[in-house]
Amino acid sequence: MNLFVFPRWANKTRQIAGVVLGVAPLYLISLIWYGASPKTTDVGYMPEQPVPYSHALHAGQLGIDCRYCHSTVEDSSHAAVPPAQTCMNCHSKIWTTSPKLALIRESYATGKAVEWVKVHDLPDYAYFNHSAHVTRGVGCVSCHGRVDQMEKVYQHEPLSMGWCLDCHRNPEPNLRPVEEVTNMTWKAPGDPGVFGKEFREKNHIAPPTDCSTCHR
Amino acid sequence: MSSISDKKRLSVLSNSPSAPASSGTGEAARPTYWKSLAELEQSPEFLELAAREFAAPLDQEPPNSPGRRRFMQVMGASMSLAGLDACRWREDKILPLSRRPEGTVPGSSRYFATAMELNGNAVGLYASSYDGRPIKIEGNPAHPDSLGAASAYHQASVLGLYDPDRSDTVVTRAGGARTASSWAKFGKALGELSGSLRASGGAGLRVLAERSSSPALAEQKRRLLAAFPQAKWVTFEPISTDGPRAGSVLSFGKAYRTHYALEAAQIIVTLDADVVHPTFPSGMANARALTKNRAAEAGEMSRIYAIESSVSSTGGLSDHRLAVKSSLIKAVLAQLDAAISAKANALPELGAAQDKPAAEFLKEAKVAKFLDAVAADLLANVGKSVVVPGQHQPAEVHALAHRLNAILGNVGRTVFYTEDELAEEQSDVLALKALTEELGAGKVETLLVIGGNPVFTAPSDLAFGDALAKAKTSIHLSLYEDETSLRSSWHLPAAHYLESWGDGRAWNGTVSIVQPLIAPLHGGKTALELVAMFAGNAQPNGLELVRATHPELGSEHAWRRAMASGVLDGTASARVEPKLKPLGKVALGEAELGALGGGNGKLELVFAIDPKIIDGRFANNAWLQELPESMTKLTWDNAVMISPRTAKELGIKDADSVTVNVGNRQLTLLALIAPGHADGSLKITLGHGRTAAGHVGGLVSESVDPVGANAYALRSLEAYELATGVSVQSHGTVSYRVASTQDIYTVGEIGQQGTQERLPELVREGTFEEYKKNPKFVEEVVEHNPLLSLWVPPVSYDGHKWGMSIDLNKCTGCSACVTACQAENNIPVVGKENVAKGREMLWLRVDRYYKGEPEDAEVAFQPIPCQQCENAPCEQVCPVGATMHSHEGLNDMVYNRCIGTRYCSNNCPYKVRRFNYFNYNIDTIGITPYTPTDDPKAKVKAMVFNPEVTVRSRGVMEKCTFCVQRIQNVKIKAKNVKRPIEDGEIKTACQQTCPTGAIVFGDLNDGKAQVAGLQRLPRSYALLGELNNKPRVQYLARIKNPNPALTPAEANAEASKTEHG
Repeated sequence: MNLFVFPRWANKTRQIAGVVLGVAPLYLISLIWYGASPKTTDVGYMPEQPVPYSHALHAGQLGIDCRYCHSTVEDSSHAAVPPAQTCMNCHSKIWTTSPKLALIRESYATGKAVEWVKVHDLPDYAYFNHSAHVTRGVGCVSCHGRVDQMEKVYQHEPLSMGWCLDCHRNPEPNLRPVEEVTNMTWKAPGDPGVFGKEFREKNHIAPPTDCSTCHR
Repeated sequence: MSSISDKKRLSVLSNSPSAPASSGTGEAARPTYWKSLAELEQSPEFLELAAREFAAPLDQEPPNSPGRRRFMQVMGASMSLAGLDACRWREDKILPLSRRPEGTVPGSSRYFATAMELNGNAVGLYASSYDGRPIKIEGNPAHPDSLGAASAYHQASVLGLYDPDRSDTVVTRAGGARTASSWAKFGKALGELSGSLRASGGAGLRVLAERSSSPALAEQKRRLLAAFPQAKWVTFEPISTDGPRAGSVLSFGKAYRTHYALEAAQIIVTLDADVVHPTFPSGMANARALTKNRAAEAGEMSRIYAIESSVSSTGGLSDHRLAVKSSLIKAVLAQLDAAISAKANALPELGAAQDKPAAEFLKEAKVAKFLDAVAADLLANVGKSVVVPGQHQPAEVHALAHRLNAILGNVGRTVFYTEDELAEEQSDVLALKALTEELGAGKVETLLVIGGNPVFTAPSDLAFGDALAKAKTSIHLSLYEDETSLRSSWHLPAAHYLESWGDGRAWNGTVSIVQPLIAPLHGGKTALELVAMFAGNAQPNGLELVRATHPELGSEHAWRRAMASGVLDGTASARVEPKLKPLGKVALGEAELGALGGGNGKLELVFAIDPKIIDGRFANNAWLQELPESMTKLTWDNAVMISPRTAKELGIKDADSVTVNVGNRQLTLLALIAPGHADGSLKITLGHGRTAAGHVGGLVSESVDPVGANAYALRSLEAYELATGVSVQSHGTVSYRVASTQDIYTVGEIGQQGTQERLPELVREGTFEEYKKNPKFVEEVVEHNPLLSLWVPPVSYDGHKWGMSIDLNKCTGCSACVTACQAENNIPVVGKENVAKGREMLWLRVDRYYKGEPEDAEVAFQPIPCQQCENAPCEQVCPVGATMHSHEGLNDMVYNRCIGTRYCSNNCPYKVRRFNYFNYNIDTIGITPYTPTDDPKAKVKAMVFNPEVTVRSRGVMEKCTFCVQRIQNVKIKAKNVKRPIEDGEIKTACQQTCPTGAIVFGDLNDGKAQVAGLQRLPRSYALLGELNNKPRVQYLARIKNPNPALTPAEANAEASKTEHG
């Protein structure tokens, strides 16, 4: 009976094994770390909407202020999606027969809601309040990106807890005059760090980092 | 602090006079508190409970769960499905309104004024509307019966709105066969019916209605009776007001309503009257008035005497309590009348004084001494006292009370009378009897039953259900297909009050408009609309009917103002000063002159309105069923209450199964030995034992057992408010148990000893005299070393510093706060099985302690929310940082981090943390708040959730957060416009609904805040403050104002000992 004998090169596997065992977990961890992070999974989420509404056209080219439609953003936790009525303010006069707007006209006539798909969807145990941010000088663009350039709205930021906390711990880079919150292209005059610091001190902006700030 | 010896504990038990003698140890100066008789007696069951760490053997299966293997199969399938949509959660939709009404802001609450009527009294409420859904009920501060408070059943009414058991279709029944029908078909049938009725002038038409104070309904009733002059309208309500009405007729010749200005009274004597309970007319306002001058700081305190058969909320508040049978109250009043008439200013026009009743019990030293002291105190406070009789007491008792109040000069000062708008419409059990006889004689062709559930609630000897079946057409309008619907030929779904247009009057006559918060979910109609249909209005519109009744609100401006404020100014009934007629000698029957106790055959049985489910109408409301009753701490049940001594005499042990015999009627249920209950008296609350309430309260047709025992089965025309000549037989222990929350936090022998030692430190009580001598006596209860910390506090609290103050002098134990907390914070219902295992989830509990001898037990209430410690023991043991300290001093609970180790609960000295052993919402009640479902019933149920608060899942710890969602919302709103938060702007749910204002919340950093002021008072103390955990909740010690003439000499000696010791 022939005994099985490991070939000579097999001796090298012991050295290689060390390398493999050392590197493979690191590879796996970083794969999952990156692969399952909101940056990968959520950023860029761009669902189909029932009505092909273009923010690039309305907010960008036509320059309609965000608050014309999202009118509750300064008073409420929700920046409410507008009722069909808001669309019809203009579209009862222009593009009145456009097939793209059929759903809007139907909703306006029947009272049936248009079923928009939620793009920026926080977990149900996280409570975000729009008014608390826009009245403190956090611009729309900080969280939503250049909506005025989006043909179809997509998620621009990870909206993860770490990402929220980054700003709550150091809000200065994201502060701007309250009247400029909807301005997508606003740049701080001079050094952005200096402006943010002054603005923060002047307005006593102290974003809390307590758990109950968002979880309740 | 030596431990209380067993000897001492036993001596209290055996009621031996040597009990105070053991004071040689220097210990006895402390009153002995106890939670239950089982604890006091150290019964074997109690010791077994205490020895176990968990109240019941741990099981892993959720209630009614599929087995474990089945669970794995299901989970396996859903795991593989979950893999498919891997990385992103379910797609959510946003459904904006197509046209948004002005002022509507999605994602925020708005409040609308409305009113809820019960037994002819409408209480003004605010109902919140969150995206069109009513979520939370609050009291309307402008309403005279609410003053901003709402009771437990008001709070829970919103759960009733979303009850999936509510009827959703018109039903016809013929020969036991049920056919679903529709309003259109009913309209057609009604058309034919009214044709034939009109021909006979409505001779065969009878209407049986609940009591209602609605002016709009009264108008439609007038029209109906005009259209059918031969028809009759009968009002029946199981909560009788016949006693007070007949008493007023006896005294004044006319039915007037009695109102009490309790805040102006120095001496308050209640006679079987729970004057502060929400079911008492204007009870919540009474509670506020009564507790107003109970603050020792004011330098003057009222004194409350309660003479009653079972311990009521008022009895709990009282300074002195005398337990006598309900049937003896008349003799007690006659005795007081005899004693007082002799000495008070002679008012010859009121007639002669009553004779001293020749009753055995009045000769007993205890009773005689008590009544002498009451009479002396009343005489010493002429014009500043008040005598309040109970609603269920007979007419003579009310007449005697009117007379006494007049003799004592209280009328016009503490007692007022107004016209009774319902004087003509009072329910009368005799009217129901006449109706039943007409039904039996076949004189009734059409019976319209509006609301109520007379088949269940009528006296049992009437056999109303059988009589009802004899009507050719019987129509029942109700929220559920209940016992009466099952016997009627038509069942019509009623609209909930939150879906209705209507109106109603407060106890003082003030009109409120009932406005709907939501369109009828199940196509129900209101009583108002149905009566209008009968009166000939084919398409009645509730709003138009209400507006037509109030022409003074014709202008849009006036109407909107009435809507906004919820009350119509100037509609209160006129005050009257009726002339008292001389009252003859009151006749006293054999039972009314009996002895204090009583053995079998001489017992009395009191039929009491259930404080939670009232007459049974809220039996299908799981919040109310699970709410621990304030005195017995019973959930999901009722029992026959019996005094310790009577139980001993009859050989009945606690939780024995007993049969109660009233004449030839019998009822078997569990006995509950109630400390402080009157000897010889039994009490059963009505409303339990429903057979067609729904899946919560009992539905025999679907094998859901009734909850509790039906006391109506014992009630008869003769024995309506109470029965005499009752006997009880014990069957010993049975396997059926009641679920009570009174002992479930008992821990081991050592723990028990610690609790015993500490109880007088937890509930600190003193007398007014003690307080005046040494206002700081509260601080001296516990001696401890200076409180030093090992580390520097990590948080400076330089922003807000939230704190709470709870005044034990004001707490009536009504538990409205508990239900408010449940509604506000999405607290799940766990069911009876789980409550019995100690798994109740209520964040706020109201501890009830007894003190003294079981026969004359005094009661103390203590609401316990999370104490929000600054040095929180829970925070230090959480391995995953799921409970963290906020910069404002809250112990934040982060559900999404919690892994369910329960270390925090172990380390919590107050036991205020609750653990989700199961996914209660899904497993127990089938609500799926976050998972999409096609089950319409689950969808309706899920509407009750408050979107401002996370719905917790299985394996997660939860607890009171000081309503952090309310704090955050006000903070954000104030900061948005850069203004400071005003004191009182943030109200926790428990605080907002408290009828007496016992709970005050606010910012301790604001020196002017009410809560800061209260915490600075000398009688403010922290619970277990000596542990240096620095709780943010502080309690105001209870100060009683006993009559020195009634304070036992030993107790005086003890009191002085305390001062020196």
